[in-house]
Amino acid sequence: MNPQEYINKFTEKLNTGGLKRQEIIEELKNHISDSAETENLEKNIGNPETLARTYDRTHLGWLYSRKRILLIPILLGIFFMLMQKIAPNLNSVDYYWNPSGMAFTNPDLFYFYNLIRDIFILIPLTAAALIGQTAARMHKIQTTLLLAIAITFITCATLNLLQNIPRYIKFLSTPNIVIGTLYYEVLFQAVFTTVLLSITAFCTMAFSGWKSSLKTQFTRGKFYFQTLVLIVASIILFFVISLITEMILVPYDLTMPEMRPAVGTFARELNDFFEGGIGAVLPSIVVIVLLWYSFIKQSYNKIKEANQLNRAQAITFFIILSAAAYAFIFNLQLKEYSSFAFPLAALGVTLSYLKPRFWFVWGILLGLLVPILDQIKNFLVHSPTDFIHSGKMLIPALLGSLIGFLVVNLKYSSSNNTPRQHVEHNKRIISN
Amino acid sequence: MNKELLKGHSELIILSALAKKPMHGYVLSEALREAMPDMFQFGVGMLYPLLHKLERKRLITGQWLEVGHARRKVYSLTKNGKKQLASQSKEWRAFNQAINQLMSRSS
Repeated sequence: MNPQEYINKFTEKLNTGGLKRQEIIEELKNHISDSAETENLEKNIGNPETLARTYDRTHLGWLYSRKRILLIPILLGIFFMLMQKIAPNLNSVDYYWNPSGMAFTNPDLFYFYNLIRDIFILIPLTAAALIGQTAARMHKIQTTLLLAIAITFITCATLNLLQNIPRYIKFLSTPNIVIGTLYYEVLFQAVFTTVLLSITAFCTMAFSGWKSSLKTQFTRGKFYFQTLVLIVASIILFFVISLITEMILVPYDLTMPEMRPAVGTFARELNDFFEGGIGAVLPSIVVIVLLWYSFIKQSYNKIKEANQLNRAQAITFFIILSAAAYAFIFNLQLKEYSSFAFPLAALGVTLSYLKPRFWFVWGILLGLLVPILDQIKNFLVHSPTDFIHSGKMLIPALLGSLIGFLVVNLKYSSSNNTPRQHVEHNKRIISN
Repeated sequence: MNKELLKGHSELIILSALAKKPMHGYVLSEALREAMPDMFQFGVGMLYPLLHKLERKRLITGQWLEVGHARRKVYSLTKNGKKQLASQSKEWRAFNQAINQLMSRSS
């Protein structure tokens, strides 16, 4: 095996991706060239496959092999099944606007069910995020497939938004429509991509600091660009977290005053604290300040010297915020096509977060999207060349866009409630 | 030579070598080859992943620098690495002393 063959074999077997991959390969090439070895490389350096596996174990941890990744969905499935057995009632938590719901019969219980539900959301999502994070580092066929599915999903959302614009305009111009609801729907759909991008950029920068890549120099332009991204991301994050605060911690904001828990009870006091004033923005402020603190500290000390606690804190925020953003965005904004592509994610009165099928879908979706976020991070934190190199994005992007387009169009062609059919329906009314 | 014995002390060996001066992978492997007897030799398959592991643990840091006319990743000890080296050296001396005492008694 000559040096080129050895490197090729090693590269083919190496799962570790991103910038680290480039480093590993370049370092090995350097070693071979320094040692001037041209033959017997297998004998002197070792089997390339074994060497690649050793690197993967170091960089990908215990999820370095495909078989081990399969353990995660199995464990998640067992977790959901157990939850069904242990606490079946948690699957039927209804929102407060449902007159027969628990909120009207036992508000305290309802409130704590909500809290428990929100805590449990994070467990499968975090696990799925870890899978996605691992998958993002791989350069294998399964990653390409994951990226294709993830891009399909994003394409669906984008096309859905574009196709719904006429409908929103129509609704907004119609009297006797609850404008507020539609306004929020349009607004949230519009910021869908921006929010994810910004959260990713901000949170990943928070634990990577200013870091120039292997092959590009740190430039002033890049500094200004990244600062701008951070500022924009902070503003968006502030609003997103405020909205999430209201969703999670203010369950009685739309409940009639007489139906709320009595003043002085824990549930009521907590609800009132987060409903307005400083309480409404407190979680946003805490998160933003901590992320900036983390970011500034990382930037000054450099990633290599930063302490573990600081890094762990930033990573935790990244996972939690991604999870929260998903829970928030998918549940509120994607209901239009969710009935087709994700039938269990139908929205409205009952969220039923703990339904196994439901959260399994969301968990996997999060896992799928994390590779995309990782690629975006590469683009923003490192350089466009890394983005293209590490992602092999073109094939899955094209494939995903095509599938997404087909899915959305199939859905609309089989639905009775499309913008096109609205227009046709209106035309018929006018002509009659 | 029992490979486990080498594995058990591999971190100490690398940290000790890098404490003398920062080195890139190939120079380090040559330095170890010269300093250590044959039975303690590190293969490339063990050396580089170990360097990466130590880098992840923040005990050493790698920087891409121009060495001669080529770019090489040069490793050096971090503050944590120096502390770790001091602590592991102390443990090693105590262990070594205890083993020596035991062996001298038995012989």
